[in-house]
Amino acid sequence: MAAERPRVVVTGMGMVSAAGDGIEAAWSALTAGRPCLSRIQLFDPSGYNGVELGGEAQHLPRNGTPRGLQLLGVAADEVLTDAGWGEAQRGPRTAVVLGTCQGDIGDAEEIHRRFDDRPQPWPSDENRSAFAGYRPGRGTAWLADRVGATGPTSTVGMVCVSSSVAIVHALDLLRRGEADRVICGGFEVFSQFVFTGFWCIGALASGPLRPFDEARDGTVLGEGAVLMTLETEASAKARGARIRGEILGGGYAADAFHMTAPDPDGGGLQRAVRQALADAGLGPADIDYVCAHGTGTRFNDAMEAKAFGALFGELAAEGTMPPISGLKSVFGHTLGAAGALDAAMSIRALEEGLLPPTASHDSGIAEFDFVPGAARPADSLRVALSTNSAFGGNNSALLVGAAS
Amino acid sequence: MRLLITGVGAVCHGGLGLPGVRAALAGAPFDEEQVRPGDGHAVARVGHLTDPDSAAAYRRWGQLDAYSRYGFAASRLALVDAGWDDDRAEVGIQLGTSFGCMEENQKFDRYDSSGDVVKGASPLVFKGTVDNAPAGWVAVAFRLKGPNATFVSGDGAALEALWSAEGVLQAGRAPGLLVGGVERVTDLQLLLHERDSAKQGVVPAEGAGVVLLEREDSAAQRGVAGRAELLGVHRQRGTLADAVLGALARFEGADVGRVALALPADQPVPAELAEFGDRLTQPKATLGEAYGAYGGLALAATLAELEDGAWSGRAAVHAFGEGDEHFVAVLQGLDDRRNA
Repeated sequence: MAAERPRVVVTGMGMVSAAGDGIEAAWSALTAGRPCLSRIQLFDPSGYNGVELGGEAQHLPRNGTPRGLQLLGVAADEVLTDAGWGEAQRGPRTAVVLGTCQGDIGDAEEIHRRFDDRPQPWPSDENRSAFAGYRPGRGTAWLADRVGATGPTSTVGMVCVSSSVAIVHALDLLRRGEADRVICGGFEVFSQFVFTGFWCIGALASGPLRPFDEARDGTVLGEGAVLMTLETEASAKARGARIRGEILGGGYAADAFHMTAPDPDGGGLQRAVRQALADAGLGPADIDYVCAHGTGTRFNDAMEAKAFGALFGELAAEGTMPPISGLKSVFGHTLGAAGALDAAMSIRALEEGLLPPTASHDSGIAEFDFVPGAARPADSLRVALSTNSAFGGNNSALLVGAAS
Repeated sequence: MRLLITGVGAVCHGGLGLPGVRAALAGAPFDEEQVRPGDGHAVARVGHLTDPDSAAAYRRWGQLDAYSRYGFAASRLALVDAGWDDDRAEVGIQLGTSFGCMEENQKFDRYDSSGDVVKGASPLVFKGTVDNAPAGWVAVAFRLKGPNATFVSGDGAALEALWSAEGVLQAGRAPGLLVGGVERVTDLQLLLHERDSAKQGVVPAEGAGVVLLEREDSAAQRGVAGRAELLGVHRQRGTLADAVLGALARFEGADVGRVALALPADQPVPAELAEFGDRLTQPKATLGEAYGAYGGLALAATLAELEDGAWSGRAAVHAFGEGDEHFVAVLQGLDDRRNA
């Protein structure tokens, strides 16, 4: 089966995040090690005991258009231009796969509150429309319409691994011949609902997000949309597309430990990475860079360090363990968009031969190279591993390769 | 590699397991609920699920929300039916849903942010505000460490999970997977549903349908027979008839003994499918519109009918996806389970 399957390449990328519109705005902030987190503007955060940082996308108009669709619109404009997709890519051989945690949950707030009051007459057509729309699949349907994709559409709802599993699912669609090209990725809207949830479980930082740092005390939420166009190599070459990278393999596995706390040994993450390596036909020594989840919470980062120690232990002993960085100190934790964001930045790293840094990082929790400060050139960057973990005990791993 | 269905579990308004599915298929009555005075709805409710065996199987059962309980109970029953009691660390789970954790979202959204400090935000409720909660609870309770995924792709989500599972198993990433769909119907959903003309004529339903899909080599190693073979899952946009006929043409085998269509009872069967005559069924007439759980419940219903001798040969189980996409699972009945 592996010998017959097509290679899957990345021909376009687009995104919006706290760093601004576009891949290059994000890459610029990331390589400079410049956090883009600031006091929350979308709601008043004064009732959260001093927790008030967020990574909101700036400049989005408050015009009644669902914020999730605005985010997707910005990313879609960029990715379609970058990929050079047009009329020829519309139709049944084009698929859409998105991941998100809560879609446009903010749109449901009024409905939820008003349901408890049950005023008469209620609901209005507007309520009904908003209700129908806030579920995660709306973004997928909207994007399919925007792209003119009439092939398979899928939405993955797995919290922080949503978009990385969406990319694995897209890979599966292409390998199994269900489509020639897929636009995939994820989106997440900054909402008071999710912020309050993370706050009440004590997962939010009192200050900067510090991945893998001894002083870390929680995460900072962000938002964004990150999209990629994946195509079979044959499809991309047939139209002379620019190939930006390759999706070499993917995997996902469960901790089977706890609903919200990670397995302290990182067993699920190790299994996900081993699945991805087997899928790609690679070994740990083939990995040149690791883009870790790095939420900045005590438990997640400790779990990841344990998992990476186990996965790369022999390499560490030889002094050849790949550098590891966490990007969330720059963008915030974009939840359902995080996996795609990490994958997109990993591809940029391979393109530029630059290791993205871990910003806001001073004192590492392990003897690893966390690339503190700013981006650093690397001699040879060919393969990057991107990992994510989530509530529910989910873990995912993606292996991306440089364009050959 | 052949893929076998070696276990099945279900939760529906007819009760637990295949007996519950049979009761529903035989016409177990729907509930009548009033979301507000004078506003009655027929609903296929599971109600307050009482499942002592699930409660005994997991000490945290009391923490599970209804959505998670349905998925948990159906998954547990599928594991029991498959006789998979131990050495299941490599087993995974893939579920589909349409509305997912909506009820917990609604509950959590009652926090009060009007004062100096936010009050009433419950960590216990918050952990249920994720669509992958049922798959997570099942994995934790039964120590299933294999590939774990949740699709929120609308009414076809359960069969999309089956499509995904097929690929995971064929790639050798797991020996077996629990696969199906789960749905909880909320009062809010009912209230907003009433004037949705596209949904008129259907009875909202909740529950879960889960099968244990297993690689043949794993089943043989465990000495377990299969209920049916999954020949494949076909996904296609276009008309219902084209999708069903396309699926049956793609996965060849014995004669077609059953075609289960996801059409509501009051909608006519396409003329192109008339050739199947009394082999056609429309399970939504008795199971209700179970949204993302429908595909799983339709699989369970088809397997119950197979066990009862109502069909043999091949069966096509259809579900509507998003837009005009269709999912059609094609099963091959195994006449003698010992020969699986």
